[in-house]
Amino acid sequence: MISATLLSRIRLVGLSATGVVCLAFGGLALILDRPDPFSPWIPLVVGIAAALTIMVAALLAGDRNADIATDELYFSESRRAQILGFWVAVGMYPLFGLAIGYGWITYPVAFSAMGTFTAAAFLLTFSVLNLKGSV
Amino acid sequence: MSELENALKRLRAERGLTQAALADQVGVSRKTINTIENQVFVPSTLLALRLARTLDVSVHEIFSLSDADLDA
Repeated sequence: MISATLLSRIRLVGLSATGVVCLAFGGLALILDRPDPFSPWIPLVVGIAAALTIMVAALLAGDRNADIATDELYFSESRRAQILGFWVAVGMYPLFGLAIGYGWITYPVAFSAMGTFTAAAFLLTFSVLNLKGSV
Repeated sequence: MSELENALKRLRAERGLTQAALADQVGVSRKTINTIENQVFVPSTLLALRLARTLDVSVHEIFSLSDADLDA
């Protein structure tokens, strides 16, 4: 039987691992000036593996533990992470627009970095908020 | 900005409950109880009522506005 605490930890590891991979993908895309710094399948596979692991863990934990792991504090943290993720996504348009306009980066690199940074912003913000409240 | 004070930690301790035990009775995570006690998280009315029912007190005995807000 998986407890609510263990389920929360599994979720935290899954989401933060996906966030780190997305951040690394976007960062390396900018640094190496190429849209595929490593296989684009890796963020996809890590994300799907994390989602499947969390779903299986939630099923094994049972309804009550799953409800406890997704209580109102979880939704509050998730909402705050979504808000930051939204503004990061919006804010990247003028930033990357300028970078493209000045010829610092190409469209494919910008497309690659913006997509993965948007995902990383939500995933890593949620992970940090989740960790902060665990003290 | 309103400052919400709460006596959850004291009321819980008086009843000999751990954060985990109270969380289990209310149906939330221990972290939620911890963040409420440390005034990091403000619970919903529904959760406040559930806490009050579990501790057998009124919501006002757990949560109150700070003196500065009452004077305003």
